[in-house]
Amino acid sequence: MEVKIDIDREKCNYSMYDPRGCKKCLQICTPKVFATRPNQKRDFSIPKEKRIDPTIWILLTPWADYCNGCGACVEACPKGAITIQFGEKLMAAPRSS
Amino acid sequence: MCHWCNQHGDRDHKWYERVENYLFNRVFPTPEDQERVKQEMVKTFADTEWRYSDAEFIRNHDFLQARASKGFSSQIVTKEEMLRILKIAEEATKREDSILVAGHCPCRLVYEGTRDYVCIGFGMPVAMSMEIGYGRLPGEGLTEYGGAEWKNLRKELRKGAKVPLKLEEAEELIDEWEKRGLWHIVMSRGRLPLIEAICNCERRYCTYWMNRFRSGVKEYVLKGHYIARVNPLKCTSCGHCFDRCQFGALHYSKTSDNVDIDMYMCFGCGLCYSACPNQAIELTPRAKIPAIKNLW
Repeated sequence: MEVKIDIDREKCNYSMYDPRGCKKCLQICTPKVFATRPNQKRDFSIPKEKRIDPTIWILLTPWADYCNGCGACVEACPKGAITIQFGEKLMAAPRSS
Repeated sequence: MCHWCNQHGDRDHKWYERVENYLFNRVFPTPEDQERVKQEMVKTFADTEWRYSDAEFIRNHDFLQARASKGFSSQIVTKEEMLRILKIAEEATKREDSILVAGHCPCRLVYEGTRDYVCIGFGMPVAMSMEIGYGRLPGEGLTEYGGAEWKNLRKELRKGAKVPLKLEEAEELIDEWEKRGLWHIVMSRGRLPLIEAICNCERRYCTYWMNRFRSGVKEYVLKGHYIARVNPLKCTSCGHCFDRCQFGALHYSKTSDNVDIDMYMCFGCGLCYSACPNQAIELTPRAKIPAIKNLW
């Protein structure tokens, strides 16, 4: 399905080791559209292998096309960081009959 | 015989039944090889392992295919086989200086945000790459890698882990996971034929499963060497097996009032077999049924 999921990184502020880290979107999504991973440092003088910092975690949507558009994550997010846009194919799908 | 058995097994043993495949020193005999593999492990881990929730890795079919042919592979096994595997692994840890480790499932960490201790790693490599805290190189003692952040993370991860794990404890854990309804896989993490870990997983979180069914790389999870079949005469349709099948192979027939297992969809995890109170489900070797003999 054509779905575009936007995560506002500043509103989300997801962190694994932060007690405020809520991970509600991860838990509520059954097709497992969301995933987390440690982020990379922006310091490019460090070699690539050592650039990953396991203390900074970010939220990703690697399986966005498995989203069924139920909107549970939008409701679940306490900060309102997730927005879903349905793709043009779905919105403009003509019904002939 | 699956193709890993053809390559790495022998006539009487499957690829996960040979003791040689559990020994790091046997699979990589020369010091140069060992050093290379060690470097590779650290590099793979930092490069891709933490980033495998990234679309550029897990959506890339060619990348995954190349990785699978390099040896990222797993196979579903039954509980009895799993106990046998644990015994062999325990024997292997005695023959070389390594340990058994119960670690967290990295897939669940990535997709659910929780740390669930349902994996057992054995030998030197997985103890390093599973981020349990330390790897133990033969003759060298403990090794650490990474900077200060890694050390903090490692401390955090080490809290719930059981290091080292005893065989009896491991067997108890397997029982517990079987009751929870998790299927078991035996896996190599890029260094076939070296077997490094067993996982007890669910369909929803398993990254290997996603690699097979969402990205289409079949070698990531191979079907098991057994399949489950129902004896319709013994089946009382009590429904104990119904919530166990995660592969969509179980069906209920209203007319004949019993359960039917689709052998093309059965992965041979044996969960329905262990749940059945009437012994109506039996495990048959896949090789004995010509129709599915070569489907893995």
